[in-house]
Amino acid sequence: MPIVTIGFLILMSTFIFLIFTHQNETKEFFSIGSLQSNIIKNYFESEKVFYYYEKLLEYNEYKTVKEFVEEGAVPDDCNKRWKFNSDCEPDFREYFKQILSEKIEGKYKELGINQEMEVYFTDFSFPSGSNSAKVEYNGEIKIKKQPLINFQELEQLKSCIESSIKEINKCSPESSSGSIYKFRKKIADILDENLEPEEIFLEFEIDTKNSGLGIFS
Amino acid sequence: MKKGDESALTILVSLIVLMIIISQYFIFFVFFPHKIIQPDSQQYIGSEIDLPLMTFVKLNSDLIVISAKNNDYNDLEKKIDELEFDGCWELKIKDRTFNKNNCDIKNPETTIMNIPDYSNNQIKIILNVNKE
Repeated sequence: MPIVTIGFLILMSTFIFLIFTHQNETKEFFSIGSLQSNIIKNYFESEKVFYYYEKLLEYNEYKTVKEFVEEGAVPDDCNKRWKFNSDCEPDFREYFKQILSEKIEGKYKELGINQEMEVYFTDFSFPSGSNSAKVEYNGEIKIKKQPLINFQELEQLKSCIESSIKEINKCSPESSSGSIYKFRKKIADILDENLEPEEIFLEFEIDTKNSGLGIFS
Repeated sequence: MKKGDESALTILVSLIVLMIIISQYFIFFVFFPHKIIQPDSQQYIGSEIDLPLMTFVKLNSDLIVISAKNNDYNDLEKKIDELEFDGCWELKIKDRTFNKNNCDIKNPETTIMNIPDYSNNQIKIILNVNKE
């Protein structure tokens, strides 16, 4: 009986020794399975798609900012001259949204510009599965960012002009000639088509005698 | 049966049961896992090359765009040369292929990333790494 017991103890010790020496190998087998690998890969794929749309929005915003100032933030036929209570009264967010939506036409579902700019481009879906489980990683590609243009500042300038048309110098025009006041304001830093930095200035004018506010007109 | 014989038999049975349990543990966790629970390592390796490509593209996207636009890859090539992968690898940007070591990729592991250029066209970036 003692011999049998000692024999068992020797065998058990050997097994325990072997288990501990193989411990590193056994750990590897629990590292990651094919389903988990696919989930990681799908996450990376979604990151790539997100980045694509982030860059798409970034470049199109640069182009939009440039076009936004070309005509003084008002339609072409206003000739850079603001006139309140008419089609030549600037509506900054709406005008910016209109230009941007033309630039990314057919590539987005929804576009909103408030405190932040939010563009819902598309949906993504990356299914993965194994014999035992199916996992679908899906969602919406929505890009949210601060607009390059500080619309609040522009609104303040507009309000200043509107409320102080008699004393328009309070609003810091760059120059004036008779009743026509010219304004020039830096509104953004962008990258141009050669991806070189460029400062963007909004230039427009106001004819105080024909401002649409009915004071001097 | 004497009282001593009974306790010896109990010990013997207990030891045998214990031996069977430990033997099973030993057999299942040391020998079988090699064949049964092996992960799909190829897919996992695929994910491992995604991250370096994404990092490279995110850090150099403007340079990639301007290089592709001007068809001048000199500055970008310096950045590509800083990339390091185990074994042979190549990076394709649009129709240009960069293979630092001029080596053959016999068994490629591929990952692709697209970025837009300034005119909303797509630039395709493909990384091929030779599988070990």
